[in-house]
Amino acid sequence: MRTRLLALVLALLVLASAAGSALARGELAVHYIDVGQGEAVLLQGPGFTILIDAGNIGGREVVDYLTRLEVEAIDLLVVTHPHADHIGQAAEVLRRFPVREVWMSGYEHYTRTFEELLDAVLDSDADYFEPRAGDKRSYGELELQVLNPPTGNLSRNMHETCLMLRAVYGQIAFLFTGDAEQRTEKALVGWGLPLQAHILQLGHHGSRTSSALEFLLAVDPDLAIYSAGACNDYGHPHEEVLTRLSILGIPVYGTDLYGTIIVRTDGETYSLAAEQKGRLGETEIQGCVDLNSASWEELQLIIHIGPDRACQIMEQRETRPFRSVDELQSRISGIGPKRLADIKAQGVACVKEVNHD
Amino acid sequence: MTEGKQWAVIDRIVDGSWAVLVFEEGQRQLTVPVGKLPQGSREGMWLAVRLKDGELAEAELDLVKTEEVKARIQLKRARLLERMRQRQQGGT
Repeated sequence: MRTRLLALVLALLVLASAAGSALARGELAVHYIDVGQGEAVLLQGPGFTILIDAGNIGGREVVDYLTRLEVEAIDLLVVTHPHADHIGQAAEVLRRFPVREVWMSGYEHYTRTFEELLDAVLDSDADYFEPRAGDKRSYGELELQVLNPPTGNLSRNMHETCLMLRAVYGQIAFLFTGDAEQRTEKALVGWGLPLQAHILQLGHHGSRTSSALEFLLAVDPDLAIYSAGACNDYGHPHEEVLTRLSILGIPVYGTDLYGTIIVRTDGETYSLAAEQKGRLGETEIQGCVDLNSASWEELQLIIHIGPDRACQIMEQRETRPFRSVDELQSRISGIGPKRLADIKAQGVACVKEVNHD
Repeated sequence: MTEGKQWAVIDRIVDGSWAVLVFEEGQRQLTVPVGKLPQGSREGMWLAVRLKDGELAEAELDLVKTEEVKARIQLKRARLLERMRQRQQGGT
């Protein structure tokens, strides 16, 4: 437990140390914006601003974030695919900011959200382009390489048509995957496209539909970042993906836990910052993590308890408080005798006496 | 309480298990198990639905509405592509 806790605290110190510094000359900042269960990434570099996806419908996080950063214009808006959790605030972005160009895959989705986006592009003066694998575009020192979709007819499966981009700034590479799934990931590996990246945005919010082992091996990232809302309906990020990354020794950071995550690079090295300095780092564990009162973040200090199971524990204790750690086995999915034994051996989880005052 | 008929579109199927519906009015979202959708449902199809106590009680595919929206979307994308073609040719 000490090792894991120390690792988390160290990671958060690194995050905190870089947070808040101004955009220096010659620096690229990649903001993985906390939009809850959705996706939006802002790339700001010398002389260019690029937005990849624009959050979920019903929110204002993207426009608010761009306003707070005093963004004046957007050179490129990339719509990876037309699901509402990726295009939700795109029309509003187009109405509020001058956008010079919009990229989409060309996949037509028959929703009002997508129609409003098309209306907003038509009402703007933006150029429109449907790029294909192999296309490249430079913005100053940044090169955007399009990896997907391939040329030819678009697949009928929307996730297979996702625009996937590799962004290279000096020696540092980023991979943006949208909601691409394992089939697409494996196809990219097969095509022999350059996939290596220092920072990988996990496909589909960390879902098991994505992050195939062979793809992770080909990308060979230093670290992975996913965007998901805490206690979302789908259990993202899925445990299989987190386990796969753990086995490969790839640290992973999610917007559910860290809020907006910012990677800054001068093209030689990079640093990681979190807008929320990490709620875990400010938490003192008083002896043990009480299943009946610990926060969602604290619960994840328990071995085998990730984001989804932490949510399950919080839901279960609302119905009926836990009377013992052993109840995890009967009340939380995926906790069997072996994992329960690990949890008890770790000694972090506990059930404090219920106060009847 | 059963509510009146509303229209919603299947925005996405998540992990093969969940369907996210977006209502025409107010852009409200509702996540339901895919098993609750009518046979033949796919992403991008419109449904006529009734809710009961906030849960999906009835859902029927509305293929006419789906075709109407599809035609508008195709037209709007075609206009965008045509605008770009004209710009590339030096037009306005």
